[in-house]
Amino acid sequence: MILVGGIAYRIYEYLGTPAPLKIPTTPAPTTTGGVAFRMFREVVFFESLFKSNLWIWALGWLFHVGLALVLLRHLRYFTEPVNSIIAFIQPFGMYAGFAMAAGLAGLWARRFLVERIRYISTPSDHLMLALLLGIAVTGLLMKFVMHTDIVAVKTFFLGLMVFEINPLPAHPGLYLHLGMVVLLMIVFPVSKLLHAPGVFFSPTRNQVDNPRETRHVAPWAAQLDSKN
Amino acid sequence: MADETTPVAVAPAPTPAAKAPPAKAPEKAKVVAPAFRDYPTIPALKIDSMVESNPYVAAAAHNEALGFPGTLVDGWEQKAVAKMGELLGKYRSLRVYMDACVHCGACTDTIAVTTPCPASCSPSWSAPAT
Repeated sequence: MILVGGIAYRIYEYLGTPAPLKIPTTPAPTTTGGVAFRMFREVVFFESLFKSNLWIWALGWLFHVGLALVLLRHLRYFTEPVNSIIAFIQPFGMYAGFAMAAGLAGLWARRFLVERIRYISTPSDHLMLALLLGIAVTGLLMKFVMHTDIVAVKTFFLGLMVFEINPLPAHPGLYLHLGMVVLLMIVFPVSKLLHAPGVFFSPTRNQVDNPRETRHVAPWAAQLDSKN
Repeated sequence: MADETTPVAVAPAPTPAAKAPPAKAPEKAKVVAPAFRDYPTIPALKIDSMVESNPYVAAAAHNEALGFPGTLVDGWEQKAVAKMGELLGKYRSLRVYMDACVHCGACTDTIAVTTPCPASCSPSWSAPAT
Protein backbone atom coordinates (compact mmCIF):
# COMPACT_ATOMS: atom_id res chain seq x y z
CA MET A 1 0.00 0.00 0.00
CA ILE A 2 2.77 2.42 1.00
CA LEU A 3 4.74 1.32 -2.04
CA VAL A 4 1.95 1.84 -4.53
CA GLY A 5 0.49 4.94 -2.87
CA GLY A 6 3.89 6.51 -2.29
CA ILE A 7 5.13 5.94 -5.81
CA ALA A 8 1.85 7.14 -7.26
CA TYR A 9 2.19 10.32 -5.21
CA ARG A 10 5.77 10.84 -6.39
CA ILE A 11 4.79 10.34 -10.01
CA TYR A 12 1.97 12.84 -9.53
CA GLU A 13 4.53 15.25 -8.06
CA TYR A 14 6.90 14.76 -11.00
CA LEU A 15 4.05 15.23 -13.46
CA GLY A 16 2.88 18.36 -11.66
CA THR A 17 6.28 20.00 -11.69
CA PRO A 18 6.87 21.84 -14.94
CA ALA A 19 10.09 21.38 -16.88
CA PRO A 20 10.65 24.96 -18.05
CA LEU A 21 13.84 24.44 -19.98
CA LYS A 22 14.65 22.43 -23.07
CA ILE A 23 17.66 20.51 -21.82
CA PRO A 24 18.05 17.15 -23.59
CA THR A 25 21.64 15.94 -23.37
CA THR A 26 22.92 16.15 -26.91
CA PRO A 27 23.30 14.40 -29.25
CA ALA A 28 19.59 13.85 -28.71
CA PRO A 29 16.90 12.44 -30.99
CA THR A 30 14.78 14.95 -32.86
CA THR A 31 11.62 12.85 -32.97
CA THR A 32 9.31 11.39 -30.32
CA GLY A 33 9.99 7.89 -31.62
CA GLY A 34 13.71 8.51 -31.29
CA VAL A 35 13.22 9.64 -27.70
CA ALA A 36 11.26 6.48 -26.93
CA PHE A 37 14.10 4.41 -28.39
CA ARG A 38 16.70 6.35 -26.41
CA MET A 39 14.68 5.90 -23.22
CA PHE A 40 14.41 2.17 -23.93
CA ARG A 41 18.19 1.89 -24.27
CA GLU A 42 18.65 3.90 -21.10
CA VAL A 43 16.22 1.85 -19.02
CA VAL A 44 17.18 -1.60 -20.32
CA PHE A 45 20.91 -1.21 -20.93
CA PHE A 46 21.80 1.82 -18.73
CA GLU A 47 23.42 3.40 -21.77
CA SER A 48 24.66 6.61 -20.17
CA LEU A 49 26.27 4.76 -17.26
CA PHE A 50 27.95 2.40 -19.74
CA LYS A 51 29.46 5.39 -21.50
CA SER A 52 30.55 7.16 -18.35
CA ASN A 53 31.84 4.35 -16.17
CA LEU A 54 32.27 0.84 -17.40
CA TRP A 55 32.91 -1.00 -14.15
CA ILE A 56 30.08 0.62 -12.19
CA TRP A 57 27.88 -0.24 -15.17
CA ALA A 58 29.01 -3.88 -15.15
CA LEU A 59 28.16 -4.36 -11.47
CA GLY A 60 24.97 -2.33 -11.60
CA TRP A 61 23.65 -4.02 -14.72
CA LEU A 62 24.48 -7.47 -13.37
CA PHE A 63 22.47 -6.69 -10.25
CA HIS A 64 19.50 -5.10 -12.03
CA VAL A 65 19.15 -7.84 -14.63
CA GLY A 66 19.44 -10.46 -11.91
CA LEU A 67 16.80 -8.63 -9.90
CA ALA A 68 14.46 -8.44 -12.90
CA LEU A 69 14.71 -12.18 -13.57
CA VAL A 70 14.33 -13.02 -9.88
CA LEU A 71 11.24 -10.80 -9.59
CA LEU A 72 9.69 -12.46 -12.66
CA ARG A 73 10.47 -15.86 -11.16
CA HIS A 74 8.69 -14.88 -7.96
CA LEU A 75 5.48 -14.21 -9.88
CA ARG A 76 4.78 -17.94 -9.57
CA TYR A 77 3.92 -17.37 -5.92
CA PHE A 78 1.21 -14.89 -6.86
CA THR A 79 -0.51 -16.46 -9.86
CA GLU A 80 -2.45 -19.66 -10.34
CA PRO A 81 -2.13 -21.13 -12.94
CA VAL A 82 1.46 -20.03 -13.58
CA ASN A 83 2.03 -18.33 -16.92
CA SER A 84 4.09 -20.52 -19.30
CA ILE A 85 6.74 -17.80 -19.76
CA ILE A 86 7.15 -17.52 -15.99
CA ALA A 87 7.44 -21.29 -15.78
CA PHE A 88 10.06 -21.24 -18.56
CA ILE A 89 12.35 -18.71 -16.85
CA GLN A 90 12.36 -20.50 -13.48
CA PRO A 91 15.85 -22.05 -13.94
CA PHE A 92 17.28 -18.78 -15.30
CA GLY A 93 15.87 -16.92 -12.32
CA MET A 94 17.73 -19.33 -10.04
CA TYR A 95 21.11 -18.41 -11.51
CA ALA A 96 20.08 -14.78 -11.73
CA GLY A 97 19.83 -14.87 -7.94
CA PHE A 98 23.59 -15.48 -7.78
CA ALA A 99 24.26 -12.76 -10.36
CA MET A 100 22.16 -10.34 -8.34
CA ALA A 101 23.98 -11.16 -5.10
CA ALA A 102 27.38 -10.90 -6.83
CA GLY A 103 26.51 -7.52 -8.33
CA LEU A 104 25.28 -6.24 -4.96
CA ALA A 105 28.40 -7.50 -3.18
CA GLY A 106 30.54 -5.72 -5.75
CA LEU A 107 28.57 -2.51 -5.48
CA TRP A 108 28.82 -2.61 -1.70
CA ALA A 109 32.56 -3.40 -1.80
CA ARG A 110 33.07 -0.19 -3.78
CA ARG A 111 31.51 1.78 -0.95
CA PHE A 112 34.17 0.46 1.43
CA LEU A 113 37.21 -0.01 -0.78
CA VAL A 114 37.21 2.99 -3.10
CA GLU A 115 38.18 6.10 -1.17
CA ARG A 116 36.14 8.59 -3.18
CA ILE A 117 33.07 6.38 -3.16
CA ARG A 118 33.42 5.80 0.58
CA TYR A 119 33.56 9.56 1.02
CA ILE A 120 30.29 10.20 -0.84
CA SER A 121 28.41 7.21 0.66
CA THR A 122 25.63 7.96 3.13
CA PRO A 123 24.01 5.61 5.67
CA SER A 124 21.02 5.31 3.36
CA ASP A 125 23.25 3.99 0.56
CA HIS A 126 24.49 1.26 2.87
CA LEU A 127 20.97 0.51 4.13
CA MET A 128 19.65 -0.12 0.60
CA LEU A 129 22.54 -2.44 -0.22
CA ALA A 130 22.25 -4.25 3.11
CA LEU A 131 18.53 -4.82 2.63
CA LEU A 132 18.85 -5.97 -0.98
CA LEU A 133 21.79 -8.24 -0.23
CA GLY A 134 20.00 -9.63 2.83
CA ILE A 135 16.95 -10.39 0.71
CA ALA A 136 19.08 -12.06 -1.95
CA VAL A 137 21.06 -14.15 0.55
CA THR A 138 18.04 -15.33 2.55
CA GLY A 139 16.29 -16.15 -0.72
CA LEU A 140 19.23 -18.19 -1.99
CA LEU A 141 19.53 -19.93 1.40
CA MET A 142 15.89 -20.97 1.22
CA LYS A 143 16.40 -22.26 -2.30
CA PHE A 144 19.64 -24.18 -1.81
CA VAL A 145 20.25 -24.79 1.91
CA MET A 146 17.17 -24.83 4.11
CA HIS A 147 13.95 -25.26 2.23
CA THR A 148 10.69 -23.84 3.39
CA ASP A 149 7.21 -25.07 2.53
CA ILE A 150 6.68 -23.05 -0.66
CA VAL A 151 3.27 -24.59 -1.25
CA ALA A 152 2.13 -23.04 2.02
CA VAL A 153 3.85 -19.76 1.07
CA LYS A 154 1.93 -19.69 -2.19
CA THR A 155 -1.33 -20.39 -0.36
CA PHE A 156 -0.52 -17.49 1.97
CA PHE A 157 0.08 -15.03 -0.86
CA LEU A 158 -2.84 -16.16 -2.99
CA GLY A 159 -4.99 -15.64 0.11
CA LEU A 160 -3.38 -12.29 0.87
CA MET A 161 -4.31 -11.02 -2.57
CA VAL A 162 -7.98 -11.35 -1.68
CA PHE A 163 -7.31 -10.11 1.89
CA GLU A 164 -7.49 -13.54 3.52
CA ILE A 165 -4.86 -14.53 6.07
CA ASN A 166 -3.68 -18.11 5.69
CA PRO A 167 -0.97 -19.62 7.91
CA LEU A 168 2.61 -18.79 6.86
CA PRO A 169 5.18 -21.52 7.62
CA ALA A 170 7.26 -20.62 10.67
CA HIS A 171 10.69 -20.45 9.09
CA PRO A 172 13.34 -17.93 10.22
CA GLY A 173 14.73 -17.49 6.70
CA LEU A 174 11.30 -16.80 5.30
CA TYR A 175 10.44 -14.29 8.01
CA LEU A 176 13.73 -12.44 7.49
CA HIS A 177 13.27 -12.50 3.72
CA LEU A 178 9.72 -11.15 3.78
CA GLY A 179 10.47 -8.68 6.60
CA MET A 180 13.27 -7.07 4.62
CA VAL A 181 11.12 -7.00 1.49
CA VAL A 182 8.40 -5.15 3.39
CA LEU A 183 10.97 -2.71 4.82
CA LEU A 184 12.35 -2.05 1.35
CA MET A 185 8.85 -1.43 -0.01
CA ILE A 186 8.17 1.01 2.84
CA VAL A 187 11.32 3.08 2.28
CA PHE A 188 10.98 2.99 -1.51
CA PRO A 189 8.96 6.21 -1.95
CA VAL A 190 11.24 8.25 0.32
CA SER A 191 14.60 6.99 -0.87
CA LYS A 192 16.98 6.96 -3.78
CA LEU A 193 15.14 3.89 -5.03
CA LEU A 194 12.99 6.53 -6.73
CA HIS A 195 15.52 6.41 -9.55
CA ALA A 196 13.28 3.70 -10.99
CA PRO A 197 10.30 5.96 -11.77
CA GLY A 198 12.53 9.04 -11.85
CA VAL A 199 14.46 8.00 -14.96
CA PHE A 200 11.28 8.32 -17.01
CA PHE A 201 10.84 11.92 -15.86
CA SER A 202 14.41 13.07 -16.42
CA PRO A 203 14.19 16.06 -18.77
CA THR A 204 17.66 15.44 -20.15
CA ARG A 205 16.49 12.03 -21.37
CA ASN A 206 12.82 12.37 -22.24
CA GLN A 207 12.87 15.59 -24.23
CA VAL A 208 12.92 15.87 -28.00
CA ASP A 209 15.73 18.01 -29.38
CA ASN A 210 13.51 20.50 -31.27
CA PRO A 211 13.84 23.86 -29.46
CA ARG A 212 13.75 25.79 -32.73
CA GLU A 213 10.81 23.98 -34.30
CA THR A 214 8.60 24.10 -31.20
CA ARG A 215 8.92 26.81 -28.58
CA HIS A 216 8.93 25.27 -25.12
CA VAL A 217 7.50 27.44 -22.32
CA ALA A 218 6.42 26.36 -18.85
CA PRO A 219 3.19 27.88 -17.46
CA TRP A 220 5.01 30.01 -14.89
CA ALA A 221 7.48 31.25 -17.47
CA ALA A 222 4.66 32.07 -19.89
CA GLN A 223 3.11 34.30 -17.18
CA LEU A 224 6.37 36.23 -16.95
CA ASP A 225 6.39 36.54 -20.75
CA SER A 226 2.92 38.01 -20.81
CA LYS A 227 3.86 40.60 -18.17
CA ASN A 228 6.54 42.08 -20.39
CA MET B 1 16.54 34.47 -12.13
CA ALA B 2 13.91 37.07 -12.90
CA ASP B 3 10.69 36.07 -11.16
CA GLU B 4 8.22 37.72 -8.87
CA THR B 5 10.24 37.08 -5.70
CA THR B 6 13.24 38.96 -6.99
CA PRO B 7 13.23 42.65 -6.11
CA VAL B 8 12.72 44.84 -9.13
CA ALA B 9 16.05 46.00 -10.39
CA VAL B 10 16.43 49.74 -10.59
CA ALA B 11 18.73 51.04 -13.27
CA PRO B 12 21.82 51.77 -11.22
CA ALA B 13 22.99 55.34 -11.46
CA PRO B 14 26.74 55.52 -11.22
CA THR B 15 27.24 56.71 -7.68
CA PRO B 16 30.49 57.18 -5.83
CA ALA B 17 29.46 54.34 -3.50
CA ALA B 18 29.15 51.90 -6.37
CA LYS B 19 32.66 52.67 -7.47
CA ALA B 20 34.12 52.08 -4.02
CA PRO B 21 36.49 49.12 -3.87
CA PRO B 22 35.21 45.91 -2.21
CA ALA B 23 35.26 46.16 1.57
CA LYS B 24 37.35 43.02 1.99
CA ALA B 25 39.23 41.18 -0.69
CA PRO B 26 38.73 37.42 -0.31
CA GLU B 27 41.73 35.35 0.68
CA LYS B 28 43.53 34.15 -2.41
CA ALA B 29 43.16 30.37 -2.54
CA LYS B 30 46.29 28.50 -3.54
CA VAL B 31 45.22 26.13 -6.27
CA VAL B 32 47.77 23.42 -6.94
CA ALA B 33 47.22 21.25 -9.98
CA PRO B 34 48.43 17.66 -9.69
CA ALA B 35 51.71 17.03 -11.44
CA PHE B 36 51.55 15.36 -14.85
CA ARG B 37 51.63 11.58 -14.67
CA ASP B 38 52.29 9.12 -17.48
CA TYR B 39 49.24 7.10 -16.48
CA PRO B 40 46.40 9.34 -15.31
CA THR B 41 45.47 8.12 -11.84
CA ILE B 42 43.02 9.81 -9.52
CA PRO B 43 44.70 11.88 -6.80
CA ALA B 44 44.01 10.73 -3.23
CA LEU B 45 41.47 12.62 -1.17
CA LYS B 46 43.01 15.47 0.77
CA ILE B 47 41.40 16.71 3.97
CA ASP B 48 40.48 20.41 3.89
CA SER B 49 41.60 20.79 0.28
CA MET B 50 38.85 23.37 -0.27
CA VAL B 51 39.05 25.08 3.10
CA GLU B 52 40.35 28.27 1.53
CA SER B 53 37.63 28.35 -1.09
CA ASN B 54 35.07 31.02 -0.24
CA PRO B 55 32.15 32.58 -2.05
CA TYR B 56 33.03 35.79 -3.83
CA VAL B 57 30.70 38.09 -1.92
CA ALA B 58 29.60 41.17 -3.82
CA ALA B 59 30.24 44.48 -2.09
CA ALA B 60 27.25 45.86 -0.17
CA ALA B 61 27.21 48.98 -2.36
CA HIS B 62 26.95 46.88 -5.51
CA ASN B 63 24.07 44.83 -4.10
CA GLU B 64 22.18 47.93 -2.94
CA ALA B 65 22.55 49.55 -6.35
CA LEU B 66 20.73 46.53 -7.79
CA GLY B 67 17.90 46.75 -5.27
CA PHE B 68 19.09 43.94 -3.00
CA PRO B 69 19.83 44.39 0.71
CA GLY B 70 23.54 44.92 1.28
CA THR B 71 23.96 42.39 4.07
CA LEU B 72 22.35 39.12 5.15
CA VAL B 73 18.75 39.72 6.19
CA ASP B 74 17.14 38.26 9.33
CA GLY B 75 15.95 34.68 8.89
CA TRP B 76 17.99 34.13 5.73
CA GLU B 77 18.16 30.39 6.45
CA GLN B 78 14.37 30.07 6.29
CA LYS B 79 14.31 32.24 3.18
CA ALA B 80 16.89 30.01 1.53
CA VAL B 81 14.92 26.87 2.42
CA ALA B 82 11.72 28.46 1.12
CA LYS B 83 13.49 29.38 -2.11
CA MET B 84 14.67 25.79 -2.47
CA GLY B 85 11.05 24.66 -2.07
CA GLU B 86 9.95 27.13 -4.71
CA LEU B 87 12.62 25.91 -7.13
CA LEU B 88 11.61 22.28 -6.51
CA GLY B 89 8.09 23.22 -7.57
CA LYS B 90 9.27 25.00 -10.68
CA TYR B 91 11.90 22.69 -12.10
CA ARG B 92 11.09 19.04 -12.62
CA SER B 93 14.73 18.35 -13.38
CA LEU B 94 15.80 19.54 -9.91
CA ARG B 95 13.06 17.58 -8.14
CA VAL B 96 13.77 14.34 -10.01
CA TYR B 97 17.53 14.59 -9.65
CA MET B 98 17.34 15.40 -5.94
CA ASP B 99 15.20 12.28 -5.45
CA ALA B 100 16.86 9.91 -7.85
CA CYS B 101 20.63 10.35 -7.43
CA VAL B 102 21.92 6.95 -6.31
CA HIS B 103 25.41 8.18 -5.35
CA CYS B 104 26.89 5.76 -7.86
CA GLY B 105 30.05 7.84 -8.00
CA ALA B 106 30.43 7.72 -11.77
CA CYS B 107 30.71 11.51 -11.73
CA THR B 108 33.76 11.31 -9.40
CA ASP B 109 35.60 8.96 -11.71
CA THR B 110 36.57 11.29 -14.51
CA ILE B 111 40.26 10.74 -15.09
CA ALA B 112 41.07 12.15 -18.50
CA VAL B 113 41.58 15.74 -17.38
CA THR B 114 45.29 15.38 -16.66
CA THR B 115 46.19 14.25 -20.17
CA PRO B 116 47.64 17.07 -22.27
CA CYS B 117 46.57 17.55 -25.86
CA PRO B 118 48.74 15.57 -28.26
CA ALA B 119 50.65 17.71 -30.70
CA SER B 120 48.54 16.35 -33.55
CA CYS B 121 45.41 18.12 -32.28
CA SER B 122 46.86 21.62 -31.97
CA PRO B 123 44.15 24.08 -32.97
CA SER B 124 44.15 25.07 -36.60
CA TRP B 125 43.98 28.77 -35.75
CA SER B 126 47.30 28.78 -33.92
CA ALA B 127 50.15 30.62 -35.53
CA PRO B 128 52.38 28.39 -37.65
CA ALA B 129 55.59 27.38 -35.95
CA THR B 130 58.55 29.38 -37.09
